[in-house]
Amino acid sequence: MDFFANKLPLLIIACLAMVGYSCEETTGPGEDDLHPIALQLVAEADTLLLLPSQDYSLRVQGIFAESTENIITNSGVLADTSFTYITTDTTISMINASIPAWHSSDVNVARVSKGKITGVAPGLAVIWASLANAVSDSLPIIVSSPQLPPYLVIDPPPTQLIFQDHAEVSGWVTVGLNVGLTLNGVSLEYDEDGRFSEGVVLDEGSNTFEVIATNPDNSLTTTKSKHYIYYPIASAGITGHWEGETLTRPFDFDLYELFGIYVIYGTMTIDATILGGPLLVQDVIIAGQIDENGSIDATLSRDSAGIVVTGFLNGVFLSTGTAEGVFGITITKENWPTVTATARWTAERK
Amino acid sequence: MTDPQIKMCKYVITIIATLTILQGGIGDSRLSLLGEARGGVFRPDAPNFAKIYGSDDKMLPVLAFGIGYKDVYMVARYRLFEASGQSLVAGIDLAGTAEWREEIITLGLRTYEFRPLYFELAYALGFVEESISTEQPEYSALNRTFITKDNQGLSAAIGLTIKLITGIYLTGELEYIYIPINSEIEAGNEKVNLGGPSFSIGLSLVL
Repeated sequence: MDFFANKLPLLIIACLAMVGYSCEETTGPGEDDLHPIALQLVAEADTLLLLPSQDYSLRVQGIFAESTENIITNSGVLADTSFTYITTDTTISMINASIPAWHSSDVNVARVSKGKITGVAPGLAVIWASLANAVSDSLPIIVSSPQLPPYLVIDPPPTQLIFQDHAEVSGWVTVGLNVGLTLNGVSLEYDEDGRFSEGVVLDEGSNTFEVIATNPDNSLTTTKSKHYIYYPIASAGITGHWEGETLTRPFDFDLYELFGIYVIYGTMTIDATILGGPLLVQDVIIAGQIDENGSIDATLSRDSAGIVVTGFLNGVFLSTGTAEGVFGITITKENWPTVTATARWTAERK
Repeated sequence: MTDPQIKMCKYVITIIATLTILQGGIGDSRLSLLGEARGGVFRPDAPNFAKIYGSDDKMLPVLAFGIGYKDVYMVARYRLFEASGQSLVAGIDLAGTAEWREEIITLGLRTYEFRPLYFELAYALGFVEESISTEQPEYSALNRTFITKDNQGLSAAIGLTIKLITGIYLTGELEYIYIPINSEIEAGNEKVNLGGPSFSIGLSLVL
């Protein structure tokens, strides 16, 4: 009862807010002719915590694509040819929550109707919406109770190589159950969304940090850990030749020290599709440096034959011999549509 | 002039003199052979031709061979016409290139009955190859080669002959060729004429 007493004002505010939302909602381009290419659920958290019989109203927005057909022609006296390419502009607009179909992975845990989620019984369910061929992202719903252990997530990666003697352990825990949180036995604070972040001091070598979330009602716990490997960068064993993989192509780079700075330098080949045809951009330069927090911070660049490639390559070291991250590129050329893409990469020191 | 050039000139003069003695001429009552080399200007009728290949007159070399009796000859002619220009690219700011190669063969009857004028009416066979592209290789989708052959039509010519020496004539000629085809652009009802008017000057040798 105390719980409901505490949360009643919040529930009232939430209900009023829902009324407000329903008044504000628009239905996007062409209400009678909705053809979104994707849906996005709008919620205040990545994962919702509900109690049995508690409601939460989701909003949903549609990503609408407006395609334009562009025709290029080349004509002689007798010969004639043309090429058609399609450019697409996307717009995002709210959709009335009563329009999409709503789905729950487990109606015994959570039900959903017209965007309103209702907790049924303790457990984990996933909610999503669909409209025509468009499907939304999924929203995990945890219907909690004093009989369940808390939900705890540590921000990735679980193991990371780092070159400074301090770091942060961060993540989030489900709120609403007055969960107790400790980091290596020391009490840890979290905010109203359940987020926590705590600075830690590292010893040289391997450091393991254990986060324990405890449900005070029944002492059920959830334990997760974060593993840091700390070495001064000079002795971390990261210098040398590295060979990497992207989704489509291998690439390589070298890591070396230059005037006290650890430099990454290499080349990458990128596959792209331009105007319906394949484009291979070779010798894209990777250049950057390694930060003390263990992050790889590099740029991608190439400018040749009017084709300009810019981008980034970020990542972290997972151990002394492996690294992973994300790269993103933008390819531009006069009279071409701009191409952008991001993808993951992994690499191994040889 | 060097000695070899002088010798060459002597040979040519000797050959021409010999041929002149042996030759007959137009209107002779015997079977005669006709050889002709012409050069002239040509302007195809096809729409947009001037826009793509320029409005200046293009050279049209012509070779002709014939056989005849008295004033009537059966004449076969071969014409080769080539031009370079810029194709019309729309929808993107690119320069286009265009290459045109046309061959026309005619087989017809020529009469010298109204000398110094002659008239010729012929069956025409035309071949055209047009290639268009852009300066940027990645736009290969905009490259196209259009070939059309075995296109049939007619040609008509009126010429003026001036006898230089026995068997050798200087000629000036106006000709119009009509070879209708369906192009890719004008597919359907509209016909495009591969031919057009030409004016040429040539030398005719009658044996």
